[in-house]
Amino acid sequence: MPALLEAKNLVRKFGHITAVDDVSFDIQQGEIFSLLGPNGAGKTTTISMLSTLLEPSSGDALIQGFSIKNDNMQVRELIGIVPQEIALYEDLSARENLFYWGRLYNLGGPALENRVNEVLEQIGLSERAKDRVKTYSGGMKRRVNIAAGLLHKPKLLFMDEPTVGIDPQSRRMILDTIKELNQEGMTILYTTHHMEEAQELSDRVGIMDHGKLIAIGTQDELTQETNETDLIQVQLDPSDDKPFIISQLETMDEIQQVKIEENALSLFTKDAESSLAPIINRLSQLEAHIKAIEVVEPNLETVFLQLTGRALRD
Amino acid sequence: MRKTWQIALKDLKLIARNPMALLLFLLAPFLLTLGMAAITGAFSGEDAGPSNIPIAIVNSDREQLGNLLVEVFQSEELKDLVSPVLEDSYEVARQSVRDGENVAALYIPEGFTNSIVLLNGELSDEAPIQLEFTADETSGYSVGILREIIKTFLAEVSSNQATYQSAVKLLLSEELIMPNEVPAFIQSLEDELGNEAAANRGYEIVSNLSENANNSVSYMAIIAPGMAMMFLMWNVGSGSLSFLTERRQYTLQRNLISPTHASQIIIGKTLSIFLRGFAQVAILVLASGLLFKLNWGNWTGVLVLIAAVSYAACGWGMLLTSIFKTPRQVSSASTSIGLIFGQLGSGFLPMSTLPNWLQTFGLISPNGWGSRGFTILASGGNLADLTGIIFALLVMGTLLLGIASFSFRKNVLQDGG
Repeated sequence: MPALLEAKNLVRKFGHITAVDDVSFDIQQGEIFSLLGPNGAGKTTTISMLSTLLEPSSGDALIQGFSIKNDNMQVRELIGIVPQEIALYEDLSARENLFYWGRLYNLGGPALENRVNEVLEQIGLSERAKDRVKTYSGGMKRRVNIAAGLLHKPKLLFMDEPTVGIDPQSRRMILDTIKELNQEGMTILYTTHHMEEAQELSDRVGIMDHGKLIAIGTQDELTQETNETDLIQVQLDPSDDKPFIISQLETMDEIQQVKIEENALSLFTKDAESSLAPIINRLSQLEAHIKAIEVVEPNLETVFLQLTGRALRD
Repeated sequence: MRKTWQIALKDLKLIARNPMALLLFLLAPFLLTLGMAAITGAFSGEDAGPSNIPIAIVNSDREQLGNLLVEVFQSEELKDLVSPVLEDSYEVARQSVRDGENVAALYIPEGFTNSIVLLNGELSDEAPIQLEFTADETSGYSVGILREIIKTFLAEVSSNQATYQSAVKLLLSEELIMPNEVPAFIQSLEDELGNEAAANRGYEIVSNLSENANNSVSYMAIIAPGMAMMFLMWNVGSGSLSFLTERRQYTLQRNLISPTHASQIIIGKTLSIFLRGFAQVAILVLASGLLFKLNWGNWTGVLVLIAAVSYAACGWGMLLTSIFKTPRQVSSASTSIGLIFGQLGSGFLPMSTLPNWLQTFGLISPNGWGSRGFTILASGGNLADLTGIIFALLVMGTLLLGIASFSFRKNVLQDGG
């Protein structure tokens, strides 16, 4: 069965900067494919090219056989897009926004009316459909943003970091909606810099960094390829002198890299099993108060670290 | 076309949902015009219009009435308002109008007085000798003043004619005087009353301006369209700004990646800007016409002219958007251009008060052309008289929109919106 999307050697340059550098991948029908990478990795530029907004400097992509360079209109009929930004008219209501976008996708009459009601139901905003978008919370706006991309029932939906800046409840709802859409048969290209989202949703993942696609495969394939790095997470007491502790830990041979988020230390090691005892000893010597310690199974974060030498959230 | 209209309708809805913007677009020009009118005394009759209006007068008559008309223009009462210059040749006088040295030229033909002095109490069968008047059609307000002076003079002559005729006829019917005594009687009346006028029928002014002998132009009728067009430039500037605002909000990109041609989006948005501009000026014109009885002239001409001016203004607005990258830049540029064009198009003072070179330079603006058009209409012109102006505005709009559209497509396609 031919791939629904085939990207071939896509390149996009902005002056001297190469934002996307020779990226090739394919997406099969019914798949959720995630592009995972830090901000500035080239994910949005890739989606912009695939959605015909941006012309590739070189390379091409075929969506159900139609070229993004030569068959703009056919490609646009096939795809839906949920941009990273809330691309809605805030002074219009959700219903008015959806009617507007629906008409641009050649919908009209009772079919549009029914479809608008359907997607409003799907995103749980039927009751507030007549309120202006500017009165909505961030999560509600995100949901309308998604609904606008679904109106014409696209074969392939591009979702560019759709959970940026929203509360956990709305995030959960969006992730569940994506799963539902996929179960209904929709193929989805999802970009994120959240490893957890990529892990939860994706059938396959492409890891991007500095414009290049540096790895591609299922999560199992990726973690097996890069299982040389282990992660130990240590929860410290807020009273601990963390900068001093980090500076001391970084001198240990067993530790490759140390990251900290609030009181949680992430220690990347070659071998968690053999490193654990020396690390605990060292922390004791430094009079650190260990609240919890855990060896984390290899995941996309460790894969990214292994491939780039940097943590995903950098 | 359906999508184009949807895009325009959406933009109109958005502006309608913004009360402050509505207030600015629709009410502000109206209120400002009223303010200007109040300041200039347009409502009180103390019109603070132009002064020292230059007029070249050729008096070939050199008899009582011709001399009197010259004296009227040279009188103490009018010395601040008009600045008459006597010429020997009407051709020289007309050339001075063409050169912009004078606003108008008045020719008092030889025999003017003799053709209208009553000899026997009966109306003359001879055709009246007419005054000739050549005016700069762009100086409508000043020309209107000059025309009013001449009309007042002729009305006075007519009034005296009627008085004399009635008196003479009564005396003749009562046989109190004999027909051969009429000239002496008239002369005695003139000596007694200090008037020379006893005139023939049909005093007319032969003018280079069509159908305008009975019309005058209000100062407010000059300022109001000028003001409206100045706001129109700001209006289209801010309308064009919506391209950049939408680009920032990513809605423009979302439009562009729908199955909609870029040209449909450009035309749709331009249509909404045009309709906004048209509505703004039309509302001002209609409201001032209804409320203050302003004489805007031929309504068909007025509406067509508003449409043409709005179209050309759209071209300027879109050009600014295609040149500048940020809303702030466009906003600053459209404010400056709005002010400059406003002055070039009678936004603050009638165009006729500007130097000739500035009036010519003003033709780069829709305001300059529009102001001329409104003046012609207010002076009694009709749609046919606007052909050149409408054509110029359409060419201006099409040219600017073409350049802007090309630039917009290039920028959007290259930068991905």
